[in-house]
Amino acid sequence: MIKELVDLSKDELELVVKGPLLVGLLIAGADGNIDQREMRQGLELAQNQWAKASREYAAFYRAIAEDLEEKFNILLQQYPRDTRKRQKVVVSELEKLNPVLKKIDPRFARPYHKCLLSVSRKIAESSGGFLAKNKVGPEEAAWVNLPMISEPGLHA
Amino acid sequence: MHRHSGYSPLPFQLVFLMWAVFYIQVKFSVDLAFLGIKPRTPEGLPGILFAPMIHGSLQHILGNTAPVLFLGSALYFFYGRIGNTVFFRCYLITNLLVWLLSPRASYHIGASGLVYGLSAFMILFGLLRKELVPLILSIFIFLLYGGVFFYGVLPIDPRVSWESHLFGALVGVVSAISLRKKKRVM
Repeated sequence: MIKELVDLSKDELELVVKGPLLVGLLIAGADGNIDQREMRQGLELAQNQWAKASREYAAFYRAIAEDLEEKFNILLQQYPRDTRKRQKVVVSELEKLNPVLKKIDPRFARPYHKCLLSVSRKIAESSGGFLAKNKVGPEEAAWVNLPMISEPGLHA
Repeated sequence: MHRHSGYSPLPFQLVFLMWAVFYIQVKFSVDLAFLGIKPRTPEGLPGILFAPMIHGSLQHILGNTAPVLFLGSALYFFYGRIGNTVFFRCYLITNLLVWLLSPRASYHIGASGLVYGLSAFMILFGLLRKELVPLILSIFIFLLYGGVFFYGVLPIDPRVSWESHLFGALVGVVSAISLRKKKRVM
């Protein structure tokens, strides 16, 4: 267990582990059509980035990325099929990360927040397709910067 | 009248440190926000000294660089004799108050508590002294930062440490009142 996460409750810890998948669901499902390839591609790219950026937490991110498709399919079953309803539920779950991230040491919380942003951006970009490579669609653009999650740490 | 001092390297040294720390964070991909102020915790205590040197983004550090340089230099140029007193009060007491009283248990980073302290001091001190130069300076700083100032002390944006702004402003106001009758300030 990562020392920064020791003080979290079971629910809080689950939310932290689920965070990147929720972001994946939010962005990949923003246009109403969840593309597994898009989701996998985004998470794999992000995972490589995390491993480089934070060697200390690479094992944590690797654990999140393990059996990704299976985890994602299980997660998907738990959420409404209707895009608007699902987005609403996912956003409200992601909002719950704010108080949790404030509690955690910023040495973990800030790279984790960056990791969520990189998942979001990679998935949004990978959904651009062949002709619109790296273009973010209008539905994804509304969520790509994860406005519901504040950067941990308060700027003075 | 003999001027005590028109210059101090302190604001420049602080800005140099701010950018050096920022460079280290970017160059070595480390995040030093753990050296910020976490209210009422032992691990948050070093933040009283270090928090103003740590910034979370380029936009954040750019936003504080010019005001620290301008207000810091103006403070020492116009009020050289009380410059150190005001500067260190706005730096240390503001951070101490954030550590003691901030209701939010998150890490506070950045130099804007100091900026709010210096601006509040300069605006009010000029008005209280009722002398021409301080008054002009006071009006100038009010026009420059007044709008942002009132917005910044309110708990509007959850990403912003309004506590640092508020306590900075408070320290600036108290300093201006307590030093208003000092005979020689420059």
